[in-house]
Amino acid sequence: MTALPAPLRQHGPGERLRGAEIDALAARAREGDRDAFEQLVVATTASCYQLAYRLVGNEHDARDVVQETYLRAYRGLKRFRGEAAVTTWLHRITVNTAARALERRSRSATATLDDDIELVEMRPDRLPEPAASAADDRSRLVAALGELPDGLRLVVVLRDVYDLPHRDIARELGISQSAAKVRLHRARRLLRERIFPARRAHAQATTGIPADEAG
Amino acid sequence: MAVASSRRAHLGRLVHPFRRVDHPTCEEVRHLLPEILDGGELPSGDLVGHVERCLVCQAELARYRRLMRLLHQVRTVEVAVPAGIVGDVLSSIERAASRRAIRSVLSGRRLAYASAVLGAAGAATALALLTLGRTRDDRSRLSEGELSL
Repeated sequence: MTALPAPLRQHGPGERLRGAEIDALAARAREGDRDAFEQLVVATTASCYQLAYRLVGNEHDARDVVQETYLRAYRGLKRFRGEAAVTTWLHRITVNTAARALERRSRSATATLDDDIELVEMRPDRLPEPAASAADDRSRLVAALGELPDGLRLVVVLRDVYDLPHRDIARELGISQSAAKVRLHRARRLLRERIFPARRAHAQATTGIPADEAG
Repeated sequence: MAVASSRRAHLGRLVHPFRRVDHPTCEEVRHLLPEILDGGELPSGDLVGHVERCLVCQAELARYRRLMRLLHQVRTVEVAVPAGIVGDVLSSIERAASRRAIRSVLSGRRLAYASAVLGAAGAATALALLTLGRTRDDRSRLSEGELSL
C-alpha cells in the first residue's frame, strides 16, 4: 500500500479519537464487528469529506464520493492488512474515488474541459485591492480552486494543500509524473492570475512599463 | 556584500534543477516560476541574476510565494461537514450489507440445489448401471442354460 505522507494522516476536526484508537476500531471491524465499523465511520467521516470536498469542489459530489469511499472500504476491509494507518487507507480510497468521479463527470459533461481555460472574474468590481487581507485571499483561493478544471484541481490540492509527492499523485491518478507536474504548474499559473489579477496592471501603472517588456 | 550573498542563496533555492535558461526574459522567468517553486536546488546564475536585477520578476516571485503560503493554509479553512452525512453513509452500508446477505443466502440455496441435482443424477446413473449389469447377468445365465440343455 502507498504510504501517504503525514498530512493526509491527520484527522479532521470532527475526529476525537486518536490514530491508534481508530486503527483498533478497524481491527475489530475486520473481525466482523459492525459496531466498530460504525464508530470508525463516525470518527473518520469529517476528514474524508473535507478531502473529498477539496478534490471535487462541491458538496453534492463530495457526499457521493464519501458514500462510495465507505462502501469500498466496507467491501475491502477484509483485505486491509493494517500495514498503514486506517485513515491513510481511507484517504487513499477517497482520492481514488474522487478521481473516478471527476472522470465520469468530465465524460458526461456536454462542454469539453480545457486545461488552458482562463478563469474569468465575473464580478470585476470585486477585484482585490492590493492590501486585501489574508482571510480574503484565502477565501478567493478556495473559490478559485473550486473553479479550476477538475484535472488541475486534483493535482494542486494533493500537492500544494496535502503535500503529497509527485510520485504518489501520479500513482493515485493513474498518470505519469511529468503529466502531474504539467498539470500542477498550469494550476498554479491559473490560480496566481486569479488571486492577484490586478497586480500586474498595478505594477505597470506604477512603473509605466508593461510587465512583459520590462525584462 | 554579506547581504548580497545571502540574497543570492535565498534566490538559489528557487532555481529549477533541470532547465538552464541563458539570459532569460521576464516572460521566461514568469513561465518558470511555478516549476521553480517545486523545490529545485541547483542555481542557474542567469535566472537568479535576472530576478535579482528585475523588480517586476521579484514582485512576481513574491506573488507566487504568497500563493504557495495560501495554498498551505487551505487546510485550515473549515469545510462544513453536511448534517446527516454519517447517517447517509451508514444507511448505504446497511443496504449493501443486506444485499450481500441476500446474495449469500441465494448463493447458498443455489449450491444446495446444485448439490441435490448432482446427487440425484449420480444416484440415477448408479441405479441404471446396476440394472444394466443385472440384465446382462440374467441374459448370460439364460444363454448358458440353453446351451446345457
